[in-house]
Amino acid sequence: MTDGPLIVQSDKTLLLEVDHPMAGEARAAIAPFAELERSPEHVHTYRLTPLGLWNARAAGHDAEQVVDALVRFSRYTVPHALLVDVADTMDRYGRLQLAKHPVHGLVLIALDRAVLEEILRQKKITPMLGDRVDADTVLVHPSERGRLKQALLKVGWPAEDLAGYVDGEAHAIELDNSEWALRDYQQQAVDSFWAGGSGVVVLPCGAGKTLVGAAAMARAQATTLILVTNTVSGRQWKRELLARTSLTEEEIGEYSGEKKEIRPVTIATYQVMTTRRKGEYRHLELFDSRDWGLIVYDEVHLLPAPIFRLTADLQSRRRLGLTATLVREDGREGDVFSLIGPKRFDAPWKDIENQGWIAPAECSEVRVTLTDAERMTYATAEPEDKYKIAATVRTKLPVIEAIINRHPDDQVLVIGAYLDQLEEIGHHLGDIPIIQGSTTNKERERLYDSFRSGETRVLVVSKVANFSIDLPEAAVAIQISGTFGSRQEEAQRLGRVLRPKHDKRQAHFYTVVSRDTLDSEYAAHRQRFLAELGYAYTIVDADDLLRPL
Amino acid sequence: MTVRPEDSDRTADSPHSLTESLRRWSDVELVTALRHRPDLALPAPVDIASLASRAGVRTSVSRSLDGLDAFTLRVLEVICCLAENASPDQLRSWFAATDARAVDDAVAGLTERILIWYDGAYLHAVGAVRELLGAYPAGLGRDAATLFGSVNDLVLARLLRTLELPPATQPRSGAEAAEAVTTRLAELIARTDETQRAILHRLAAGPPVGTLRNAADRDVSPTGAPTADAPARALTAIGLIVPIDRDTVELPREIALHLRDVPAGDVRPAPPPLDMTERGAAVIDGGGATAVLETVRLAALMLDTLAWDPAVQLRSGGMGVRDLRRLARVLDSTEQVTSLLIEITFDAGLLSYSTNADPTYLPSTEFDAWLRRGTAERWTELASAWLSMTRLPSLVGERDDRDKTIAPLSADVERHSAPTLRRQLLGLLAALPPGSTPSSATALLDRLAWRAPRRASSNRAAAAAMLDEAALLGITSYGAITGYARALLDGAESGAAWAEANAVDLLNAALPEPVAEFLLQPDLTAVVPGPPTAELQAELTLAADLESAGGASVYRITPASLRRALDAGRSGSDLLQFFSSRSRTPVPQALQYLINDVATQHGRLRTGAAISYLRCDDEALLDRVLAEPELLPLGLQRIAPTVIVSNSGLAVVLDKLRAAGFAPAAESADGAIVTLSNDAPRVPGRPHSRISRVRSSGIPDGQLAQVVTRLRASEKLSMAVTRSASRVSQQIPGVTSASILELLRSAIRNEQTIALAYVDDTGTPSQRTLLPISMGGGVVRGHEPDDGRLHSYPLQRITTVSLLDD
Repeated sequence: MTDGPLIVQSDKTLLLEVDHPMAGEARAAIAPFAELERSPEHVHTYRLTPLGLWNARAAGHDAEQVVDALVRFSRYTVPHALLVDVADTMDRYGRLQLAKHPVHGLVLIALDRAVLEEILRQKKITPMLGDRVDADTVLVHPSERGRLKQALLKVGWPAEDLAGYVDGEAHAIELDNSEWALRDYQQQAVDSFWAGGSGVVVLPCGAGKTLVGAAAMARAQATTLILVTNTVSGRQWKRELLARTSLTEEEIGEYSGEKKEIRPVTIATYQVMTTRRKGEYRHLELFDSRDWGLIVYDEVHLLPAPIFRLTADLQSRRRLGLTATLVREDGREGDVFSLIGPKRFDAPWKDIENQGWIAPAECSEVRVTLTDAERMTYATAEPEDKYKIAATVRTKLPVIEAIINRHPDDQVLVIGAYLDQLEEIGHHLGDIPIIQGSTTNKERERLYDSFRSGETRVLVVSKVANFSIDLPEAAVAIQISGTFGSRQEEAQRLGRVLRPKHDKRQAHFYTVVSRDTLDSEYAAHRQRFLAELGYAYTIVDADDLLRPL
Repeated sequence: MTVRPEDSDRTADSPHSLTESLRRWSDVELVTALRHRPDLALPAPVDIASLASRAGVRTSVSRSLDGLDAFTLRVLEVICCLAENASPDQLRSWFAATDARAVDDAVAGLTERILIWYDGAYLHAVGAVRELLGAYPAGLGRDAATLFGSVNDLVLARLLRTLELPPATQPRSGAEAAEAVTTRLAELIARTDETQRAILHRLAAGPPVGTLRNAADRDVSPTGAPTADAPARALTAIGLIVPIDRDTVELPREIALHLRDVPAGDVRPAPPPLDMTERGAAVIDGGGATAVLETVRLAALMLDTLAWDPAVQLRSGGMGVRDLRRLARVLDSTEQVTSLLIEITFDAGLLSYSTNADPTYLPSTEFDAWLRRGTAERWTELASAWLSMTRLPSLVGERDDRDKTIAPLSADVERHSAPTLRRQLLGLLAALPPGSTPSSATALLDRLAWRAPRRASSNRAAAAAMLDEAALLGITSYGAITGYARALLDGAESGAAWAEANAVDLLNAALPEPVAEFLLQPDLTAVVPGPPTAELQAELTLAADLESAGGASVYRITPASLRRALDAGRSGSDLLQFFSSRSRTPVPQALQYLINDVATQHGRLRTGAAISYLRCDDEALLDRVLAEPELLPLGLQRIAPTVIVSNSGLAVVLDKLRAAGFAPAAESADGAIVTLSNDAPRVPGRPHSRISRVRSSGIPDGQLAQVVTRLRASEKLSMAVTRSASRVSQQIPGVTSASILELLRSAIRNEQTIALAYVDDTGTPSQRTLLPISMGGGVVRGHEPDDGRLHSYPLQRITTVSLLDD
């Protein structure tokens, strides 16, 4: 029995005591193969999953290293069965390899003939395979490369893809390093992505994922297709690329609902790619319209299912996925692994915060007590209306005002889900501009610019601003209602204030909640995700805020 | 021991029988023998002769054979093969020269076990030994002469032709074929190719029989193309293997002996080597401790689950698959592990079943006692139960003979050999130096197969499952036996209670120090970084939900879990105090708020029992009521400023209040004033019923007479039945038998009174007495002796007829 910082649980989670003197060393040792599941203040939880272990194998770690790390840092003797299981699981990766055969083209090579025999008897897999070249080699239809990898992962024999990538059409892209430099972790992310060929980089919101993308493009020196969630986010990519690289306006094309430009670097939205007319994906040809050398998937955790299907056909091109969290609400992490690639880089939020790359944030939950009339309305409401009634009570208005007044020198975002509530608040605060689904892109750009320049201090936004808008100087976010208990939304909203401030100011994230209602129940559920990331909420009573300071 | 085989010359005073031989044994030798075969001592044999005869009894010999290792068993088999010629020299010649010493030792061992005896010249197998060793001792077939002698001439004719012998018939043909094959063996074997030789060698190693479809036929392929069994067929054609029935061939003993390196075959006197890894006893005991904690936790969780939701006992015995799955889900484990825990806890008496009409499985009172013990004691109880239980939990989920799934706790799981097998298996592990683990389970099972070939051969799967179970329970860890399990095993053999205490001490030393504190985190989890003390665990289980167990325990605090603690009588401040005093980290603000929120909401609604109430808007008036001494017996209690409740009924309260000078009004559930005093008390009316109109007199005499007549008839009948032998009844309902008709006819003829049992058209049976006068048209007519009137009874309604004597 050592006195290590790690405790192995029977459900294959690993508990890491953060305050332990060996914690840092242990974290470094287990990070390559264990998924960080929760990182609250004192004890972090990692989980051993087949996917995580295969990720580690893909990154060149072997079972011995994993077992050694577990044994060395574990406080109590590690159960033998777990070690055996780890070794067995890791051993499954790479028994099958996808490779380029000089004569036959794409082939599946078995290092273990029994596995190949097993695979060949799978009804779902055989159609993807061609003739058997020899005892250990089977032809693969090049178009099935992605689907085969998906299927093999599902049956527990993930293939190692050694078939390589096409270089794509060369295009000179340089990082313009005159005023800034790539941060260490960004550099590491790019390096490990490039070494692995394809894969996903996980970085918190505001940690500069766009720059990782730009650096990857500079490394690829090839035409690039960037897939983003929406038009505004696409324009922001364009702005960043213009500012940080040698690319010019003419080299970057926008492929969206409004424009259909195809240029050496093309930014397309998921939405336009998945638009169907008469049952056909109309814009599919974009993938073939140029010989792309790199495809970047922004916000990979939101990647819609049709894009997965399209991506399956693109296995010979380098793919980079960017995300703040690999947690997909639809549980398709396995598809991300097999189609985009394994996780290549991950850094805990708090670590990056400690390095000063994202702003430290203070999260507060402001509890509002409903008036008797409001409580009555809430109590007698239909169940399906209850959340809305609780979340949109008028009692929240003065509280929101008080919070805004607390930060007279900061840019403030007020984020909500219900339009009438947003309008009400805009009106209450004296005709504050509101951005919602119906706001035109042009108007949005104008408002963002004005907010960015400081002309507008307070902006009210609806759900449309949940993702990928860049408001560098928002230091305060006030969440007044949400999409029920969505944890991801909470994280994205917090991300709005995490960009480092020029004066290293602290960011503030407020969530205003009605006491003793569904609103507070959902809030608790949403907060759990952030609490698990290490953001502790302070609970404040609204009356304390309203009292004159 | 009796005689070492070296002195092989038979002397005049050599024993002539086992009894005689045993008579010469010293007391010490006899004691040794009985230690090897304890069943011979129970009950104690009356004399040596009975000991000798019991030593040869089938069951006793079988038990003793099961304990022999592969080499000793082979020596015994060879002795049987040699039959009457088993001289020690002959025996040794069957083995490699280097093994001579081992053969002598084996002979000594067999003698010690009274499995063989020595008459000074030859060794003899005792009683049922030969029979128990099966048809092919030492893996050898019968000799060529016997085998060929059993083959029919049709088949032999072909062989004789192949061997260029003149045609002949049995018994000459068989003898000639045997003779030819054995003398020309080298030449015949030289004719075979590699595949054929491989078959021969396989049969030579034993068992000497193989399956060959239509073995006696020359060639079954109509096309003439070589079939898969062509090599074996070719061997049959030249007489190297002999078809003994339609689909079976056997290798003659002579050929096997010729092919074998040594006649006894490839059996080593030493167990197969076992590669070992040195891990250190501390690592092994530590690894086992994790399993121990998990086992004890799961067993407690499972029994606790059964306490609140018992499992129904199947009609055929055992627990149903649905309950098994449910428990497996609760334990977050496999059905196999759950079955193991069910079987163990049942064997340990912690789980039992109720004895009502629909028996259910429930924890027993023993469980409460078990819960109060320390982890080490709890584990020791479970482990001891596992070691000695005659059950094979690994059978659960398999199919029985009738293709039904075997249920846990059913009779199908019973295997009497299980404890012995377990002890033999673990004994192999215990024999290794502490801290070293065998390289693989396969190697260990191979060693078991050498150590106890007769038991292990059919039980390899069971033994492999036992190894898994042992690892799961913490009996083994990293494949090696843990120190505390070793102690337990020692105790199991000597049956000593100190062994359990010893195991508990060793286990306590290996178990991690219990932790009495936890770390509270902002995500409302509490992590106990080690095994919790029993007291901490109880408190935490009450106030939080266990989320993950193992080396540490992670508990999640939710509003529901806090409410549970409040329901159990903790107050909000108790909880805060508990969390802040036990947490190594500061209590997160969110938790403080949560506890306060839940505590303020808890019990806001109060409920209780009362029979009547008093309410009044004037609080002062209620004050007066409460102060009135005359009203004390009403048990008045003020539950709100304007409400008093009472445990007395409304009428009593009204009376007392009025008597005390108050002027109360009664109100109904909807608040309306009701007046109670105007009506005199009444009970609700009852509907008229027939019973109340039964008259006690006035029954017509005729009716009464009928009743009496029936009484008499049945009286007479019952007497008649005892007196008369001539009672005939319908065999088939509704069919009047010939014997009834015969009896009726004779009664008419002889003017005899009869008793008949009769069923009227409403189906009511009755007894009648009749003097029959005629029969015809399907009815019998006659007078009833008492009223003299003529009656007729349809024949098919008569069920019994008896003649009555006057």
